[in-house]
Amino acid sequence: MSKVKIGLEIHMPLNTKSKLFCPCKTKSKSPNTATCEVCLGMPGSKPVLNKKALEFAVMLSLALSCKVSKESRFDRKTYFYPDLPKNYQITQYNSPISENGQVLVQGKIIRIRRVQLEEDPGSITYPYHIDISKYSLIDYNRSGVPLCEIVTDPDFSSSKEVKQFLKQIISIAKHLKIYTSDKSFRVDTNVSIGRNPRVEIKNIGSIKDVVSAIECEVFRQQQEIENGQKIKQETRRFSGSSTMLMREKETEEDYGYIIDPDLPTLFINTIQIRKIQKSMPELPDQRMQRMMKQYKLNKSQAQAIVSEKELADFYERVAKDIDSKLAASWISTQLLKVLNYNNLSFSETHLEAQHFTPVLNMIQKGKISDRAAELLLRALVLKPQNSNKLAVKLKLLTLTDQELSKLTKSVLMKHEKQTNQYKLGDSKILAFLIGRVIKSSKGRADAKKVRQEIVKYLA
Amino acid sequence: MTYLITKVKVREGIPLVVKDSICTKGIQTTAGSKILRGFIPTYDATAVKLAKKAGCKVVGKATQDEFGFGTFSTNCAFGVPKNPHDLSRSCGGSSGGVAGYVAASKSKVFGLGESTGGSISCPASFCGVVGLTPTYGLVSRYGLIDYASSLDRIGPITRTVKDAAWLLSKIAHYDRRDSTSIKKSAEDYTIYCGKSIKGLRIGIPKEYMRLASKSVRDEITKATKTLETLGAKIIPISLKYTDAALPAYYIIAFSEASTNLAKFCGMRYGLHEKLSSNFNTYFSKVRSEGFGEEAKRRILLGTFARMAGFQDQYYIKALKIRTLVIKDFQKVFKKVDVIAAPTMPIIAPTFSEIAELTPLDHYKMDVLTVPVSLAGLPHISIPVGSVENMPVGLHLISNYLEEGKIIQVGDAFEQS
Amino acid sequence: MKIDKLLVKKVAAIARINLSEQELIRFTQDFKNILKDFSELRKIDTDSVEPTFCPIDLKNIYRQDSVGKCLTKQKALSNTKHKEKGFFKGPKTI
Repeated sequence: MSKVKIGLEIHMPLNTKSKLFCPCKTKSKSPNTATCEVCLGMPGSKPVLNKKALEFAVMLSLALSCKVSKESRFDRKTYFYPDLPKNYQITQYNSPISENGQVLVQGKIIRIRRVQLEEDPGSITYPYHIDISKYSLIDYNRSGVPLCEIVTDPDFSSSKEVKQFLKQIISIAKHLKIYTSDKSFRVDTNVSIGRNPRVEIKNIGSIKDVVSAIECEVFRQQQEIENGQKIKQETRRFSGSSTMLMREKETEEDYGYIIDPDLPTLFINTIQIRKIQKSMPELPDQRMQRMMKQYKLNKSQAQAIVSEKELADFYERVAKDIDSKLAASWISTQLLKVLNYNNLSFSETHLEAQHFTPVLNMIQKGKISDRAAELLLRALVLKPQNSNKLAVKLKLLTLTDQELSKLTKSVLMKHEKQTNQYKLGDSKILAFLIGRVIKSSKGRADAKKVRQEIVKYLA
Repeated sequence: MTYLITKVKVREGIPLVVKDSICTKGIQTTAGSKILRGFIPTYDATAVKLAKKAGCKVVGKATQDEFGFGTFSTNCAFGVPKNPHDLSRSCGGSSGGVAGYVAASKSKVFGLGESTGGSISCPASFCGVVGLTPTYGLVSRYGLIDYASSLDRIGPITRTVKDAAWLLSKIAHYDRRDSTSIKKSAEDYTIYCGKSIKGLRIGIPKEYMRLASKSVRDEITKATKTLETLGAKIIPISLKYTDAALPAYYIIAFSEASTNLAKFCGMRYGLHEKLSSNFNTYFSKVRSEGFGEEAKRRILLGTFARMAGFQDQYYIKALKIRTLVIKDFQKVFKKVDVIAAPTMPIIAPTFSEIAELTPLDHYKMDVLTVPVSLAGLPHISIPVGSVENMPVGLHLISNYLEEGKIIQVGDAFEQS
Repeated sequence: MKIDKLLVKKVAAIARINLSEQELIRFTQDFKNILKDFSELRKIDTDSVEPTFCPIDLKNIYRQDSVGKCLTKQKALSNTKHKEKGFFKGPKTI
């Protein structure tokens, strides 16, 4: 089977207050209300670099173990499109912020080719469906927002690796506070099989879609190869269910890159890098090590918890009020299980400590069984609410001693044959009877207590 | 007499005529191009803001070669200005409208011109006025419609050296909105007027004299003799990269210009067409309709010079030649304080003479002003004599941020 | 490298400029003449020379990350007739 090779280009909008080259705010509800002469590309306007964006790019470079360039410049990438106010994008082609880094994904090294800064274009929409609209509508609010572009080598061999990598990058960026979920990142991916030319799929807006797009494309290419057809080097887009050929193709030479003469060279020395490094917030790896020590967690628990920043933040809030190891065990296994089942990331739920901690409290006090707690979690993830009240509503509280006694009696009475078998010395039938009582309790009886009750009753 | 594209009624204040590539809030700004007809900037260029703060009032936007593309102001979409000394001759370019207006005006008026390859000096020389091009980065480019971003500069065009020094003092301020603005405290340049030039070393580059016509050369020699009598020391010098500077300048200028002009496509401002086609068709229609022939030529050559396969031998090569030109000047400034040379190789040509020239002939007219433009050095052209009743300009060049020296020499000559 | 009509046509397409047949012929001749002259630069040895992107010595120019005033929607759209419901209208992209 020929080897699948996948590479990624991630465009991540940075969490700065103002745009990359002008002091406009980075978003606004009403179209064209967050613009100025600079980000509209009005004649005569000039760019001035946002220092914070540069610091964020250096931070990300350091977190990805990249070598920060001593000299870095901006280039003009010239092409014509309605969302591009100057019909050139200010980006970094020849001398990016950093190069040659790496990230470990499930023990495998993924090489980072470069990290660079560039400006976002505006956003295009259409008055009606794209195929029947006679014109386009452009909102330049997004124009000029700083983007950090991360380019990997084609080191991935599966969509699973890509998914893990993207989650790691997002977690790192969120821990660095350079990226927030309210902004959407975009991914371009290139896929090739064996010696065949690579196909690029552009502008994918979520991890789920990146995974699907890669899987669709690998399948498509494999089909083509099996049918004896040649794979063409081309650019495609992802429709949601398949990859499709894009209508316009831009070849490399069309861009005519020159350095942007409006922006002087950036010289970044070791002292500046050290200063930025010192100011960096805790990275996921560092957080993991600290949490293992601080909360006495094992590596796999800690790794699962830091995989998403919001989840790690949630854990540390919960661990303030309840046993940290109990919390870790439940969050890194059962909670993640429920999230995965519903195909949700933690940040997509509105689950808070106030909903979750009482569940662990009830477990500790024996008020609910583990099974009941799981059922509670499934409901809370989809609709966070007062968990004590919910447990009562769903009848999940463990039976009181009286209730257990009553239930045990009624179940045993219904199973005279098995009861007699036990009385006659068949101790193996006990497990069957315990099972019957638990089933009747609808998960509200603790197995140990049921056993004690049966034995006591039949003694 | 077409010097102005847009006239503004002004009752009081110091009258200021502004080249039409410099943005003026609320006043049409076209850069001499059809593609920007009707464009009304929402802001003033910083230089205009500062001039207004000093009491100036904008009386009009002057005609020019489209986007600065020209040496004779004949590539203008809104009227070709005629030389006030002889209406059959050119004002020079590309700031011909400003220089012509300042020269023709009956009362004192100040002008703001723009130079990329000599577009302040050339019309100043041809029209017999003073044109001062400051060090690159001294005057903010914010609000200047770009021709070539690493070459463009705004500077005064006035009747006297002292007026130019006064206006420069008002507009030469650090501007945080322009990343190429020099961080330097403001200066009063008028203090350099009225000072003796005794002992000042003035170098005359032999290559420049060789490239000028004999009659122009004679006027320059006369002028330098005057400077000698005023106490200056005249020293012969050589600038060996003078010839190489011309193609290097044009390659860099065209390459940068082709990206700067990409934004003009019929959206957001300027010339519009009906939105009935796909984007590439639409953009091509507007651009083909809105740009003049010289603009198209320069965009094509500039696009070519930065294409992936050709960039190294043209664009990058030109940038390396630029380094050699700068080193050339630096070597010379170890021996002299100021360089003196003819501003232009000829006097203002007639329009019929211009019509005979090929595009390459036009470019070669700039041979004396492009080296100093490439280097970003300050220079001033002052009227020193005449040939066939047409003014001849003397070019004075000094090292970076030494405007004082050329003002001193220029004023000394003027007062003599 | 061949300077011919095909090359000039390609360059014009990249620059989004339509050329009539006459213009194409004229510009091709201009290309030939001008580039021949510009190619004289080849004779100068620049192997150990660094390019100069900016004539003055500037580096590390940036601004603080603070929000400033934006244009009102009306001002932003004031120079175009191609506008609708607060958006800029542009040509279609397909």
